[in-house]
Amino acid sequence: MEGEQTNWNKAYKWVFGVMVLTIFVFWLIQLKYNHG
Amino acid sequence: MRELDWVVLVATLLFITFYGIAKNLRNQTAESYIVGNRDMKWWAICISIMTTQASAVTFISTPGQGFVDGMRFVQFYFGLPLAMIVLSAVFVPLYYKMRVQTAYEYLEHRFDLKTRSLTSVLFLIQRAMGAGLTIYAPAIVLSVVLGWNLKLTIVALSILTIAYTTLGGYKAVAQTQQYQMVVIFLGLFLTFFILLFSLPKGIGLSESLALAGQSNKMQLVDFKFDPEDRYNIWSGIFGGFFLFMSYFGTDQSQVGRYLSGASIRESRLGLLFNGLLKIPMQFFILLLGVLVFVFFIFNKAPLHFNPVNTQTVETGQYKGQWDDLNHRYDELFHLRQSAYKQSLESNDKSASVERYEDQLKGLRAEADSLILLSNPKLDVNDKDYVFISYVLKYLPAGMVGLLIAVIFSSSMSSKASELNALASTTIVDLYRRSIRKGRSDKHYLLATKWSTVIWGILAMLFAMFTSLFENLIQAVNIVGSLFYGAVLGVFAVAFFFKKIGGNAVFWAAIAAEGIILSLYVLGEMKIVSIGYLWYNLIGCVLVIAFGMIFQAVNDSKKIEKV
Repeated sequence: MEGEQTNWNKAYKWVFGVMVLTIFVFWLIQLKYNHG
Repeated sequence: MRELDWVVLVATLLFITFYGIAKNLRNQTAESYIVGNRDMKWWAICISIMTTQASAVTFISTPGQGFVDGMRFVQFYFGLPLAMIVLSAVFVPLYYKMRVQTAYEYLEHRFDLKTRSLTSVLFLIQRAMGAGLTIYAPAIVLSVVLGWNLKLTIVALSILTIAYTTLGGYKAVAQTQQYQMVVIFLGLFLTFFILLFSLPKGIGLSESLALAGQSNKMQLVDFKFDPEDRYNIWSGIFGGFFLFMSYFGTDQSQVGRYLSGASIRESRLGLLFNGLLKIPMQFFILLLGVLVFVFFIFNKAPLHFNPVNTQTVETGQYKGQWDDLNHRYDELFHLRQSAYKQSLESNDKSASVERYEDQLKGLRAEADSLILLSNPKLDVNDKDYVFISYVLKYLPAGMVGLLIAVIFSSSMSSKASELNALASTTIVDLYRRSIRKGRSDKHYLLATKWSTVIWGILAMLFAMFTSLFENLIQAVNIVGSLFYGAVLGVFAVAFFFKKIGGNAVFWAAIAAEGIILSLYVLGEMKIVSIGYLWYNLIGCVLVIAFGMIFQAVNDSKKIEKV
């Protein structure tokens, strides 16, 4: 049970990490292309 | 629309409808009709959640938003993954533990019957009106653009949806959503590639993004905090988090999707993948709008996209001024195009692009004024007509039918989930619990089917008469906000304030709702001024605050008695 909870906590961290990474990639796209 | 378009459209919609019905007519019980056989895999849950949320408005308005305002809107979804994490960690385990069929059923376990009934009724009021708009919004745009009869479009869409939702129940809704998802993505990907290949030689994706960036359309992350600006990273993360928590955590049209999972694991994965996929999906849809913007740098767009508005001016007394405006637009179009091409070569911010963009904005504003002079009652916001205008004029035969099928599919998938949720809540939370207890499973199954039909017809009638009342859409949004906050507050107390009991939260919800309605009335009388989106937050905070106070008073009375 505890092991399962640990796995879920890892999954939540992964989702959070992907969210931060997505925002970072968006920011890089903006830096490259947005000149307006 | 050409013949091939009609074949694609009708064949797609009929296949989805009849497949949904044929596969799910047999072996139904009241429970399987409401939450399936609780055997859904995570990917099916994820698709169901995504297609329920993505209504026709997503595919009509969002590319238009990209065309007008660029990619900024994507920030609105930044809070979604966080909301999915909290729902998976807190809400889902508790719903599973109680093995509930609706979100409101949980409230009886946690509080009492009256709190459950109150939240169910509040949900039914706002969702019933929302279900009408789900059909009305695409029908009005398509009827204007294609010249279809508005009422007939509403009736046709409603009857197809009511048919498979009523006959097939939850499983038909979920299975058809999988096919609808395939149609939606097929249509969008094909449009993306057609758009890219229809640009001039030497302009690929990278060059298109650079061109769009010249007019600030590639702003994806705005770190500046401005409470009046709706789209920046802070409003996206914090505002979006609360909005998505209430939508996915307390709205039965979404809760019903993940309660049907084969296990708690499947439901959690379905929600988490929704959190991961939604942002790229919205990015892609906005990108289509941005590519349409780039396409119209090289191909002349109409000065105004709503054909009915344009026709009104062209046949009225302002025709001379309208023609003059279009002549100036012709000249500007070529100058603007050259400026964009030059900016691509210099790879830097171009002052001339900015100047011509400002001039174009000025011309569009003048066009709006002429439309309003011709008929002050017309709505000059043509954002919703941008993408559909491009589709109808530039996509090949067959693709137009597919894209209209995308719009219809998304409308039907959302409406089906809403009808399923309205019927489930009516029967499980009100009819079976308080009106007719202890009847057979067959009785409740039949009652749920009838409930689906009745809600479907009510939503259809609501959609048909929406056009008769001005500002009804805004009224529906206001009604939603008036109730959503209190419902979210009740759930927030249920999950996070364990010491507050049923009586306290029930009266707290009534008191909070009373204050919200009073604020609304005072707002209408121009005595106070609060944007209606704030009612969500105020309602939620008031329920928590009153709940604490009432519970404390209750506890002190008990101590006195002892």
